[in-house]
Amino acid sequence: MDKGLVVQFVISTLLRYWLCHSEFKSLLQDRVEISNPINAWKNLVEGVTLMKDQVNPYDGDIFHESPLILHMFKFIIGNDNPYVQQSIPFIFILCDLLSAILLYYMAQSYMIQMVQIEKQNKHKYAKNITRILINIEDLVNVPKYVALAYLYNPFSILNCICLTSTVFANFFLCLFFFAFVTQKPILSSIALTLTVQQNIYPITLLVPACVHFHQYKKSWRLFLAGFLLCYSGFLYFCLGLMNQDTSFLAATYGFQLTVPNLQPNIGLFWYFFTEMFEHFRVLFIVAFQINSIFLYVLPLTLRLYKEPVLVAICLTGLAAVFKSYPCVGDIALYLALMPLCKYLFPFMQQGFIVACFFIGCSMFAPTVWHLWIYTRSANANFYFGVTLAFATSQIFLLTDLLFAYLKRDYTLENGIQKTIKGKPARLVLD
Amino acid sequence: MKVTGLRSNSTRAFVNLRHTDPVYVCDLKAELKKRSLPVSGPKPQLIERLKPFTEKQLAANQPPMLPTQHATSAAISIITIPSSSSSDDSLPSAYDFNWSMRKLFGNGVPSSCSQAETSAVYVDITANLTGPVFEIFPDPTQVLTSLHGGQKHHIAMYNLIEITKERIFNVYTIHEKPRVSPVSIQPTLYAHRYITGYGQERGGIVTKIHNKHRTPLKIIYLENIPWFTPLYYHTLKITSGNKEIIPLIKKYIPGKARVRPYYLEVAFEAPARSVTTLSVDFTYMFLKWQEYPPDANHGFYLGSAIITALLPTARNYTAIPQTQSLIKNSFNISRDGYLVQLRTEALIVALPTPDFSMPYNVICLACTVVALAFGPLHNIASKRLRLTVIRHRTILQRLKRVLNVVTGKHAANKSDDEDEDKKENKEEKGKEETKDKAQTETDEGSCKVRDTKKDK
Repeated sequence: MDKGLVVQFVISTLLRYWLCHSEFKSLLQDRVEISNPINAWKNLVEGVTLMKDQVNPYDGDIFHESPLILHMFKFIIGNDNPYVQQSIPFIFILCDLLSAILLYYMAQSYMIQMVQIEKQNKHKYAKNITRILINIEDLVNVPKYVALAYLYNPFSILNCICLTSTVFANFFLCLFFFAFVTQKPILSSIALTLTVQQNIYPITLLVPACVHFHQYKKSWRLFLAGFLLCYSGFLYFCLGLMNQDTSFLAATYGFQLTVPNLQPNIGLFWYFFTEMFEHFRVLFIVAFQINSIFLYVLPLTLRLYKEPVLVAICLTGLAAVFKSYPCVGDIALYLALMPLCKYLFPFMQQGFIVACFFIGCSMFAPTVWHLWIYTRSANANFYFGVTLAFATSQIFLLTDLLFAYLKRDYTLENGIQKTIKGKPARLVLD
Repeated sequence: MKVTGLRSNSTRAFVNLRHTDPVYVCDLKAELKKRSLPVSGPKPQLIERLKPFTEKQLAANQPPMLPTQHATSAAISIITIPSSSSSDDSLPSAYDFNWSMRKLFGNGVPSSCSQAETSAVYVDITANLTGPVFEIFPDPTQVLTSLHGGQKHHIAMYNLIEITKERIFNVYTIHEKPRVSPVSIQPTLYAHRYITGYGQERGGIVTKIHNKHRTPLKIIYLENIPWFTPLYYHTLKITSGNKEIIPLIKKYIPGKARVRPYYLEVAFEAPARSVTTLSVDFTYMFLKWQEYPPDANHGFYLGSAIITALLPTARNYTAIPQTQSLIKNSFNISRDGYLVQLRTEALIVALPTPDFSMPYNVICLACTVVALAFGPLHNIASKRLRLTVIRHRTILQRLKRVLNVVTGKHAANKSDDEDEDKKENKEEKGKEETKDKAQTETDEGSCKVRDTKKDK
């Protein structure tokens, strides 16, 4: 890591520290885009307080975090020592920094792998494609971009200063990406367990990880077995923590899957299931959850089997769009992974539109929320419209990324010239 | 003044009569007419004219009453609070304080309960000693003195079993001169509750409990909040002045949506002569559209909180001991504490509402967004990239294609298009000609464009 990057780390830490202690924090902490029923700091405090007063926190409607996080914070929130209380924001900032560092090393390793692959396959490529091969400068630049994209993304800053538990989810996911890209089966399995204990959606990453380990002659069986072992061990551990009470399963995974809380968020579920006819509810919940968990795993893995990391990025992104309780923290993570695909950027077409949508939606969402909830001059449709636009733009970004990969793949094989007998031609899916 | 009627131990209704004009002019005129007296003049004069007639005569002229009325089943305790707004010292204000059972209930008591061993009406006449003097008619069967909780009460007792044998029972008072309302003495314990916060996102419930007594009071506060306003237990805060009060006992059962409410019970000690503020935060829940009532924006009610305390004094306190059921049991017994339960105001919260006209639109739109992802991802996973020549179509040609699709010529045209695609690579020259032709002819009109298509 060079000096410049260290300076950036320090600056972003100071920025987070300042925001954590400014008045913006209380203003932002209750925003539905940032805090949802699962990750909100207020709900975590509630859970810990309930547990301290001998009430099962999973019995009520408010707490939905995993037992591990609950018991971790039992010592922090429950402690009356003022030093411990003051250190709470630092835990979150530190977690964010560690995530950025992990992303940095992950990106470094990934770029080296990509360059090596291109070197090996150079004889298969068409002529005149050196322009689109990975630039040697990117070996240094891309890791920096990835780390900076996480450190300075407003979404991740907001996520951090509002002390949401998504900070930890992101950290675990970064740890998984790091272990996965650097081919460490056992660390990957532990990291994936930690990720999945908080929310169920990243379980799809099992598949690209297995493919990746297989490609690099590492034992994917070890990874899979490690995950199963770790995860069952974790469940057993949680049962011990909760005194053999299984209610936490229904309150965490059950809550994510059945979507009982219809508080608005940036996802697609809340208004859909507010307006759903009661007799179709189960059908659509199952359909939506299949869509967000299983549907795209196998097709994408089969099609992009050469690029499991890209599959993992796309699955993370799709989960952030389609999960039942998404928040800006989820988006921050997959946006930070985007610079890994810098070599695809020349083939992407929707960048400008998507950027406009992101900015527009980020500004419109709080506005229409205020109009709806506070001044009551707008209604739920306005906010729903903004979330739809936001989801659409994210989908554009992800599908554009995949299209770009296909186009680059085609171009590597067939050359940059896109003509048929001298006539201009274009690439279409057929 | 205080009228304590018969009561059962199950229900109790408090009727506050504020500024009820007890005598109607039309009633007086009717009475005067019956006695062939002049009916003209202001109301006080009419009453003066009627005064010589005894209560018995008045009662005898009352309409017949249903014999099945059982006085024992009525459970009523009435406190008339005279309005202090009768500012001008003209005569009518004097009559504001006169009352009779008939005026309050529309009827006297025609009979006593045949099953009851005792049947009596008690009137607290203590105020006759301290306040303005009044006369009570008819004469009570007995005047009782009750001493409890350091308070001495004089109570006029009417034995209904005896009285109703002879006549319909009615009791009334006549004040001799206009009464000056004393400043009302506040109860020892009272409470107010309200909602804080604005907007339909987050709010708080605040209860202010006033303890007017000179000693601290132990209070149990019970809150049953419906599930649609989830409580944040950790925000529960009890303060008095600037001091935070540590609750003696807390009991909390978190609610569950559509299953059970939030149950919160707190016992604490309210300091002497203080206002204790109890606050807790809640959020507004977003319900499914079918769970809203037809008048969705009317709001949802939060029931009242119950405040329970043992008062050390029996001032302003009338209640039957919990172990007994007759009013006479409450006379002359002093206890360590006098149990009182206050119910605070019920609150109303307006939960945020969805648009009720939208279900189909929302389902369609959300599914469209899912399809926006599914479509391209399906294509990416199942199709291959292929180079095709970029065909330039004019706007009219495109329009025509769309029209054809709409009018059902889709299948035929599609095969045409496919043929075209295949031919394209072979007949590049020919195509270029037709293209030029088409372009020139589009300027001339749409009919000819159709012809060129046929030519192709």
